[in-house]
Amino acid sequence: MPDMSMFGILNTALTGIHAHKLAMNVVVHNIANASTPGYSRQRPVIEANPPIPLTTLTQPSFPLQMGTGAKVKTIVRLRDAFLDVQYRQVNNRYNYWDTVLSNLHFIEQLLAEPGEDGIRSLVDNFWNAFKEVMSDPSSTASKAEVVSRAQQMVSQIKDLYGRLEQLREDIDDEIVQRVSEINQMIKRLADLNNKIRTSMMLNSPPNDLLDERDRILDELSNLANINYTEAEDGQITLRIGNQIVLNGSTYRELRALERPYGKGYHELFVGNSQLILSDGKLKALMDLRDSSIVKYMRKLDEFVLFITDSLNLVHRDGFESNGVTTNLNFFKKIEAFSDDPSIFRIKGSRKLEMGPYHTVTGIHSASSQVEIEGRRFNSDDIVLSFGGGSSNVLNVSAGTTIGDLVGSWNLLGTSLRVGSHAGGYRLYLEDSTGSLRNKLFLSLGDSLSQMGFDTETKGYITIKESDLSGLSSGVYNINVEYTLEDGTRQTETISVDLSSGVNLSNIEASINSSSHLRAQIYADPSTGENMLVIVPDEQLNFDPSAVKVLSDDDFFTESNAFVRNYEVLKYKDTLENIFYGQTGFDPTRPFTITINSTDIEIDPAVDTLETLVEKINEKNTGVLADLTPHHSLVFRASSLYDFDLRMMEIKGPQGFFEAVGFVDPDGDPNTFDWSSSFTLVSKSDDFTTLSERFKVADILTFDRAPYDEPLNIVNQFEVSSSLAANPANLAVDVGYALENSDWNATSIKPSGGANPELLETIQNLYTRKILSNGKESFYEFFGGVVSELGVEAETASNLKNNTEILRQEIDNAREEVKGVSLDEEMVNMIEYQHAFSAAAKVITAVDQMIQTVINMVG
Amino acid sequence: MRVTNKMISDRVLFNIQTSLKRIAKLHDQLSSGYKVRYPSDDAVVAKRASDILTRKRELEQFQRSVDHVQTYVNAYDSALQTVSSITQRLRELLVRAANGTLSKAEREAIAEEIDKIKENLVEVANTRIGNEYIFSGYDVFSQPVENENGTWKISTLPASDKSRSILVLGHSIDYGVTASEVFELDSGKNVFQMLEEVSATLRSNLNETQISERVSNVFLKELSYFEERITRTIGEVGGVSRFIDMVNSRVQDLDFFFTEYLSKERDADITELVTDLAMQQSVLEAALKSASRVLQATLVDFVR
Repeated sequence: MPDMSMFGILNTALTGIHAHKLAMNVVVHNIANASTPGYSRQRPVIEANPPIPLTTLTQPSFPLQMGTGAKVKTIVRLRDAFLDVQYRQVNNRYNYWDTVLSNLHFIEQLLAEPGEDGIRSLVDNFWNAFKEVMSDPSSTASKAEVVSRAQQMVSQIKDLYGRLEQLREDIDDEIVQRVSEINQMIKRLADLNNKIRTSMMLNSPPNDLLDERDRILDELSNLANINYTEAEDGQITLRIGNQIVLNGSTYRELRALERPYGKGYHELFVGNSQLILSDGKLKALMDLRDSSIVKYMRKLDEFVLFITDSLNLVHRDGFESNGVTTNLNFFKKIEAFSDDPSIFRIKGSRKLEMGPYHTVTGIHSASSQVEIEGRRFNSDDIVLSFGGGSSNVLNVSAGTTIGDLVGSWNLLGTSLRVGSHAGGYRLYLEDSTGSLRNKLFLSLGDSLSQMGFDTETKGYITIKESDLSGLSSGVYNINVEYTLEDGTRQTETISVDLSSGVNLSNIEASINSSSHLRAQIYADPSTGENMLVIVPDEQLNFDPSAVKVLSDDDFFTESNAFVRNYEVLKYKDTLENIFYGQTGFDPTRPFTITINSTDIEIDPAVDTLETLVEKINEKNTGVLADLTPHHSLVFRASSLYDFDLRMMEIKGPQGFFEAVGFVDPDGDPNTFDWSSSFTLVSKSDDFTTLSERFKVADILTFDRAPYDEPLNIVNQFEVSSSLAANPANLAVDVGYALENSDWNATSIKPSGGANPELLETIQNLYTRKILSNGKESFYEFFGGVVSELGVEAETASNLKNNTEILRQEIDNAREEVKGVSLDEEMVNMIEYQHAFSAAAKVITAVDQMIQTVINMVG
Repeated sequence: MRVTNKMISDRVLFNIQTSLKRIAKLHDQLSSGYKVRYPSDDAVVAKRASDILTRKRELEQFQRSVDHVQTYVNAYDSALQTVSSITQRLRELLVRAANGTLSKAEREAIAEEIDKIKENLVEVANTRIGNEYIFSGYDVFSQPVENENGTWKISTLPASDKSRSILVLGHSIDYGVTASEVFELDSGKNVFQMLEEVSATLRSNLNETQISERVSNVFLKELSYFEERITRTIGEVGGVSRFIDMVNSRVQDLDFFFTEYLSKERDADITELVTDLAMQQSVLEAALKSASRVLQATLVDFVR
C-alpha cells in the first residue's frame, strides 16, 4: 500500500530548510543593499508545493492530499512604476529651473544692480560729466573728464557683453558634453534591454538589472524630457523629446551639429530630424544660449546703437570752444561689413533753418469766415511795421472787427487774409516775396495776439513828445556802432538836426536818414500823445543790442528817452514756410505720411518740424523721428522692427522726402514735387536699390543677425579717436545759421564757448524716450533691464523651490514602496530563522524515527 | 504607511539643509546690510533701489553745478557791490562838479579822479574767474570792455551777449550777468564813454555855467540811469542767489529723502535679523539633536 514514507517526510522538511534559506538570502540581499541608491527591495514569494494524493493504511478507499512542503516561487521586486513616471516629470522641471536660475544669477551679478558701481552708475556718471562741462565750458579738465568717463562706460559695457558671449560659449560646450553623456546612457539602456529580454525569456525577472535601468532613466530625466513604454518581453521603447532613440536593442544617438552662422553653436538632431525638447537641463541650456542671454545682449546692442547715433548727430552740429572744428563724431561710427545690411537711420541732407518767411498763421480751425472776421478788438491799439527802409502805423480802434483790419491792412506790401484751410478757415499774414523775416510788426497792446499770432515782448527806445523840453535847438551828433548779423562792425555819425525846431518830426527825419535806424511817430492809444520809436533795421535783425551808442551829445539823456515794451509778431518755422512755392504744394490742405499702414496727418500751416516729429512719435509706428540741432530730419527704426527701416513701409508725398533731403529721384536738388506720391522704403526693396535711392542722405547701417544671435554692435563701441586724443575738441557751441533763400542752411557760424544750448540738448537726450520703441529713455533703460532680469530670476527661483519640494515628496512616496526598512528585514529574518530551526528540528526527529525503525528490523 | 530608514534619513537631511539655507541667507543679509541684494531677491524693490541710486547720483551732480554757480553769483555780487560804492563816490564828485564855483585846478582834480574811477570800472567789467571773463556772456575768452582808437566799447557780439545758464532739477537757471546789462544805458551808450565825456567836459574851455549845466542836466541824469541799472542788477543777482539757495536746500532735502527711502526699501533691519538668526540657530540645534536620536534606533540593536 502506498503511503508517505519516512524519507518523504525528510524531503518535506528539507524543502522547508531550502525555502527559508533562500528567503534568508533575499533578506540579506536587502540589508546589504539598504543604502544602495536606486535599489528596490525584493521579497521572496513562498508558495506551498502541489500536494500528492496518497492512500494510507488507515484510509484505503480515498486518497488524502499530502502536502509536500514549500518552495520559493519567485522573488518579487517592489516598485511603483507610476510614481517613477511622476518623479521623472517633476525632476525634469526642477532641473530646467535650477539651470536657468543659476545662469541668470550669474548675469545679475555681472550687472551689479542695485549697487554703487553697477552698470547704471557708469551711464549716470557719463551723463553727469556733461553737466560739469555746462557749468564750466572753458575748462579742458571737465572735457577730459567727459571723454574719460565715456571710455570707462565703453570698456565696461564691452566687458559685460564679452562675458555674456563667453557664457554662451561655455553653455554650448556643456551642451555638447551632455549630449555625449546621453548617448552613453542610451547605449547602456540598449544593452540592458537585451539582457533583460534574455532573462525574461527564462522566466526569471532580473531585478537588479531593472534597478540599473531605472537608475539610468532617473539620470536621463535630469537632462531631457523622456517618455518610455515597456513591452511584454521587458524591453523599453525610449523617446527623448520628440524623437525615438531606443527600440528593443536598436538605438539612435543624439548628434550635435554646428550651425552655419554665428560662432557655430550646436543644434541637436537624431538622425536627420531636429530634436525638439520641452524640459530638462539641456532645454534650459539651449533656451539660455539662444534666447535669454541673447535678449540681454541685444538690449546692450540697442543701448549702444542709440547712444552712439543720437549723441553723434547732436555733437556733429556743434563747434568746440574756439569755434574752429565742427562735424566731429563723439563715438566712432557704427558700420556694416556685409553687402545686405539693415538700415537703422536715415538723416536728411538739408538743414531746414533760417529760410524766408512767407506766411504766418493766426486764428485757425474756424468753421466760417464770419467767425474770424466778426471778432472785435476790445481796446484801442496801434500796429507798427518796419522794414525795407520804410515804416507804417495802423490804428486799431476798440470795437472794430478783424474784418475791418483785413480791409485796411496795407503794411509793407503784405496782406492780411482770411482763407480756407484744412476744411475750415484761418487768418493769416502773407508776403508773396517771402521777406517777412525782414519785416517787423509791433503792437503796443494785444491786438496781434487777439488775432491769434504768437508774440514776444521786446523793448525799443521811445521818446515822448512832452519830454522834449530838455533838448536845445541845434545839431546833435550821435556816434553809433552797428554789429551786423555776419559779425562785421560799422560806425556812423547821425546828425539830429533840430535847428528848424525841437519836435518829433525833425528827430524822425534825421534818424531815418541813417543807414540802419528807423524812427516812426505814432499816437499813444491811451493818452493820445505823440511818441517816437526807434528801431534798428533788418540787417541788425531788429535787435537793439546790435547798436551801441559811443557818444550822443547827451541827446538821449536830454530827451528822456526810455525803453518801452512792445509786442512783436513772431514768425514760426511752419512747414508752410519751409515748403512754400514747391511744385504741387498746397498749404491749405494737410498731407499724409503713411508708416506701416498708420496715417499721420500733417497740417503745414500750423505744424512745425518739431510738431511733425511729435506726431510721428505719438503713433508708435516703429519709426522714431528726430531733429538734429540744426534741423535735419532723422528717421530711426525702433526695437519693434529689429532696428531695421527696411522691414517697414513708409510712404508720403515725394516733395516732402525731397525737401528734407532724404532722396532726390529727379536729380534736381532744387525742385520738390508734391504732386507725386513716393514710397521711401518697403520690404521688397533690395539694398543696392536703397543705397542708390538714399545717396543724398546720410544712412547708418549695421549687419543683420539671425534671431538667436546678438547684433554684435557693442563690439564696435568706441570713443572717436580724435576726441580721445584731444578732449578739447568736445563740441560745446551749437552756433547759429545764417539766413538763406531756400531753407537749406549751409553756413553755420560759431557763437562762443559758453552758449549752453548744445549742452542742454545733450543733457535732455538723457531723458528723452527714444529706447524700447519710444517707451524708455537712457535714464530708465537699464532700470528696465534690471527689472526684467529680476522678474525672470525671481520666477525661476520660486519655480525651482516649488519643484524641489514636489520632487522631494514624490521621491519620498517612491521610497515608501521600494525602500528597505531594517526593522522589517529584522522581523523577517527572525521569522525565517525560526522556521529554519524548526525545520532542522524536524529532520532530527524524523532521523530518530528512522533509527527506531531500522533498529526494529535488524 | 510604511516608513523606511532611508525616508527618515532623507527627511532629516532635507530639514537640516533647509535650516542651513535659511541661516546662510540671514547671515548674508546681516553681513551685507541689505535685505535685497540681487534683483532675484525681489525684482520690484531692486528696481526701485536701482532707480533711487541713479537719482542720488544725479543729485550729486546737481549739487556740484549749484556750488559752481554759487561761486559765480558771489563774484557778481561782490563786483556789483564794488560798482555800487564807486557810483556813490561818482555822485559826490559830480555834485561837486555841478557847483559852478570851482576853479580850473579843482575841476582838473575831479577829472583825474573820474579817470581813475573809469579805469576801476573797466577792471571790474573785465573781472575773471580762472581764465573766464564773467561779464562777457557766451564769449568767455574775450575781454568784454576794450578801448578801440580812444573809444571805450563793450565788444561782445550780440549773438554772444546773453546770460549763461545751467539746468538743475528741471529748472533752467540764468545766472550770468553781461557787461551790457550793467554798464550800458538805455540809449546804448556805455558808462565808460560817458565818464570820458565827463572828464573831457571838466577839462574843456567851456565856461563854468555851461559846464555845471551839462553836469547837472546830462551827466547826473545819466548817472541816475546807471545807478538804477546797478540796483536792478543787484536785485536780480540777489534773486538768483536766493533761488540757488533754495535749489541747494531742495537738493539736500531730496538727497536725504532718497537715502532714507533707499534704506527703508533695501536695508536689512539688523535687530530683526539678529533675532531671526538666533531663532534659526536654535531650530537647527533642535533638528540636529532629534536627528541623532531618530537615526540611531533600529531593531538591529535589540535582536540578540
